[in-house]
Amino acid sequence: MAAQVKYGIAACLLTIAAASPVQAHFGMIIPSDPMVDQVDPRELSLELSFSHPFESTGMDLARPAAFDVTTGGETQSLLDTIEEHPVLGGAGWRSSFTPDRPGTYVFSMEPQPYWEPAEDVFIVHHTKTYVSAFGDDSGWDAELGLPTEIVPLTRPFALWASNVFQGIVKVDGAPVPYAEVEIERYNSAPLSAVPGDLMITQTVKADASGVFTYAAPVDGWWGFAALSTASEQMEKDGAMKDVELGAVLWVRFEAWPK
Amino acid sequence: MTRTLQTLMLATLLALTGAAPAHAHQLNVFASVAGETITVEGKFSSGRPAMAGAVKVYDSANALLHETQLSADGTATLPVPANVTGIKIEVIAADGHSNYWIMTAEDLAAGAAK
Repeated sequence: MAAQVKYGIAACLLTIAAASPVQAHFGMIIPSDPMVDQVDPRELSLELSFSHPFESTGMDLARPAAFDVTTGGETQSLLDTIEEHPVLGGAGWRSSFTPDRPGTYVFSMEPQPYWEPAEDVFIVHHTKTYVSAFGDDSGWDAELGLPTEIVPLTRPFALWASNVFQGIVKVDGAPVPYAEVEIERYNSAPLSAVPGDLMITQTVKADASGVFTYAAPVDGWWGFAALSTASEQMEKDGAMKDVELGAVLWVRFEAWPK
Repeated sequence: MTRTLQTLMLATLLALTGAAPAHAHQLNVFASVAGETITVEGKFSSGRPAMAGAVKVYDSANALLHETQLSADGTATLPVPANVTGIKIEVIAADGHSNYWIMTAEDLAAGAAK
């Protein structure tokens, strides 16, 4: 076989492979501002989605089972505030919220189970993000008591790009030793090129105490997703299927001023 | 006029009057209105209340309207000034740290309805 033909076949195979890469799923809550100041618009807008953030493609997020804000130990449902809003080409939701006092506001979403036939699994990503209001960062390390969550050990806002970020992965309130954490940047538009598919999703493992560390190389919203398998299965077409639980946290890193 | 624009105008005024920026040992100031009363809160970034300090209220022309002192719990109460289109509330803690909170006419009206 001529070398040119071989290269042609290889190129075709590559094209087919590129059309269906393994993409990481991320629940997403992206607020308009992670630090609300009194001279900013005090009303936050929030986008809720289930997406492939690095590749700027959205999937369809059914109406979430729960969407809450927690501040000062008090939790309030915001489910009645959401309205349909496409995100990255998929069905998503948006909401608005105005902090009325200084402090940290933790927005969290529990989606309905998402059936992923390609992986023969249900996916439930418990997703959250932290917003500071009016210069007060108290409560930045709040733990919500979700079935699984990343509890920040680094303040999850007001970070410079390249800062190290640390969090502890928990399931049912207990640290998960050596938990694997997938990390992606949210690109609102696709990047022109990356050196390889492995560059899309960064992967780190937690240590024996469930603590992971990552330094975002550039500014932007970065998502951290620690995945585990739920102890209970769910039924699909008469068969019991695994449920992937995700502890997802979104953190924005800021560009150094020029 | 939008609340944001009002806030920006007041913020500009404040910048011109040389209010102190935030520093590492930051003093955070917040104020809220309920009915006819404004409650001012001063708290350090450590989470501890500013236990003593001056509270000064200015109108949008930078005229001093009212002056009082923080209580030991880091709060002060004062009456809502009459006939103002917005105010800035400056707190100068006993250690010299200062910061401010801006209330627009919209903020005052919303608080008066509570």
